[in-house]
Amino acid sequence: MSRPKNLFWNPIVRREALTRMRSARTMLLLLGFLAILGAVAYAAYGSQVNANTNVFQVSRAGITVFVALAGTVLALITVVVPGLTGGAIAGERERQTLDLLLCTRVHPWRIVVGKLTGSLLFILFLLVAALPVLSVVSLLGGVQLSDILIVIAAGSMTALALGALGILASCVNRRAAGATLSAYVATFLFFAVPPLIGAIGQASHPNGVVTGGASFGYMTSGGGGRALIAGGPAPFPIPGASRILGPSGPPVVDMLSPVVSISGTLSTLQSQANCATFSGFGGPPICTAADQVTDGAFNGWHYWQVGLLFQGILALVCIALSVLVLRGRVPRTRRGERVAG
Amino acid sequence: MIDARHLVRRFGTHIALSECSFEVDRGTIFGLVGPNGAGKTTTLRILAGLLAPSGGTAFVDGIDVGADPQAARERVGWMPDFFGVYERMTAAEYLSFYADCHRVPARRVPAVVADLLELVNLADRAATPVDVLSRGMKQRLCLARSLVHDPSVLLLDEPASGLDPRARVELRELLRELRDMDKTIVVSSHILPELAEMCTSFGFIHGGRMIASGPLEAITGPIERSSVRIEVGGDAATAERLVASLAEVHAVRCDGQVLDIELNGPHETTSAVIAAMVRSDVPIRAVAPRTSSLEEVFMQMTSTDVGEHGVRLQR
Ligand SMILES: Nc1ncnc2c1ncn2[C@@H]1O[C@H](COP(=O)(O)OP(=O)(O)OP(=O)(O)O)[C@@H](O)[C@H]1O
Ligand SMILES: [Mg+2]
Repeated sequence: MSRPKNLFWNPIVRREALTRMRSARTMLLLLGFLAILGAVAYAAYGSQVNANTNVFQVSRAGITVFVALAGTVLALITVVVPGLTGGAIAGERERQTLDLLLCTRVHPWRIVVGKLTGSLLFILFLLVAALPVLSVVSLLGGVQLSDILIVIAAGSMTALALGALGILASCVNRRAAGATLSAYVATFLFFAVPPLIGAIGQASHPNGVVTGGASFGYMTSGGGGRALIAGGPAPFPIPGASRILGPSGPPVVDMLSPVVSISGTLSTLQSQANCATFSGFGGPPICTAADQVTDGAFNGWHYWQVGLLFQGILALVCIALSVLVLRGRVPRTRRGERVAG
Repeated sequence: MIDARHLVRRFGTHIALSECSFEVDRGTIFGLVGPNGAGKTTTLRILAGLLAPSGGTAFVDGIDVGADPQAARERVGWMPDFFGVYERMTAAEYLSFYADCHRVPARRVPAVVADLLELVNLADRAATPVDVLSRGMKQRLCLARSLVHDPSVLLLDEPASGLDPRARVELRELLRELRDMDKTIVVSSHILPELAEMCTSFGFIHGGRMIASGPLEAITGPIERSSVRIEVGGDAATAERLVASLAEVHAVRCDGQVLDIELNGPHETTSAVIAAMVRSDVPIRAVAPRTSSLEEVFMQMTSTDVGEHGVRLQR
């Protein structure tokens, strides 16, 4: 009764989708998600456009709305993903279904990947449901397709990395509640530690220049060098990079990280919008290109690219560790230990 | 079919299983009997490939469970002593999910699920959410789950706990049916009478050791004494004296009208006692075995072995 080996065979994904769609919590989550996005879009649009708005300003408004929406989506993903994945495996353990799964023909790696996929598919479902809200941006214009694609790539990778982190937390914890809590703590550290190191680095090098602290700008710049946000704190939790340059010569601290600073200033956003508006006319970028790594192993890479790479690596490491933890519960091949009988 | 060789399992310094060996032949129902904490669940989990033994080897259908757990899993159906159910899922969906997990071909799944629900008498509950089923129903559903991939070996950990008397009888019938389908079944329990009626061979486990295992006759053979309880009418004291004087009787205890008689031989010796009572016109109201022969074996074995090995096998 064996089927041909299929890399994508995973009964867990289907079961997750089935039971999740029947939960009342799912509907509440969806409604909340749409309500928040709608409110943000409305507020951002209203702050930019009125009866006297000219054509330049409308396309600038498009950027503002886009930045606000993308940031909100990413922030919501950050909040939702650890909650979805934190309890995934620990919950199975709590329901005592983990052992039942482990003694079927679903290999531990399929359990880990299935749980992760199940959670990420739910995020995708939320995003698809939010498409009407997000498409408002395209009506306003001013945003290039490449910008949107980069935000999608960065957002997906953030969800993947955070999801894998949550699954790992779920594998090492006995209880679902503890697992969810540690998933959130891990997420917090994931965002908080790099800026902390940056702050320490900056404090110890008073003459240093901090660049890349607001990685959101690097992501949305689309690699065209049109936007500049250097040194300003990022208003949204977004993957990227941040580096501290010494007064002269090579960087003192090099960090590639999602950087968060909820208390970021709107002026950062505004300067980005201004940059993008002018470059939108095809002229030379007025803003200085500062979204590329200028030396080291990643010389010439855009920060968002490096961010993507590092989050991908983090995700793979977390998945591998999770599988190892789960496998520890199942006998391994130990041919050498056979006792003569 | 099952061959456990010198299984050892330690949990930290605690030794849950120590040199546990036994064999189960194809097509038998094997009763794994032992008091709480004897190591029954540990043994079954090792056989199911869920727990690595600290020493020894377990073979299922000739496959070394530790070396090739995947192959062993295809042949083993495991029903643990807990349910493990998901919320917001019907009984039929629950079984289909595990059928999928065992790679039962998709087109066969609906038929397999329907057959199994029929087999465990839950056909009318196919659309009921699993988490609202009664305990006994969950128990039966879990038995069905362990059968989704048509395993040749069934490992059932206390399958009768929580079942009402009628359901127990049904379970017994069901297991016999499965045995007739050429399945090898291991059933654990600490309630002997429950197993005595359905098992054809037994393993007595105590303090992590297999004290005795094999077909019933092979185990009960060395037993020299059995006991019987006879309720008499009339003068019980006279009857007691009469019975005590018989050569077949080892000891008698009189409690009101009831004589508890310990015999110098197997249960068949009872007929000699009754014959003597009938000859002397002692009115007999009722005759009952005081305990099952199995229980006696178990009691004798555990009482003699406790001193030597101890329940705790720590150094
Ligand atoms: N995961 C574990 N960690 C530590 N000790 C364990 C673990 N599992 C079992 N034990 C110990 O191993 C011994 C045997 O346990 P096991 O569950 O096999 O007993 P059992 O015969 O199934 O008992 P019961 O009739 O109560 O189900 C017990 O002393 C138990 O405390
Ligand atoms: Mg047990």
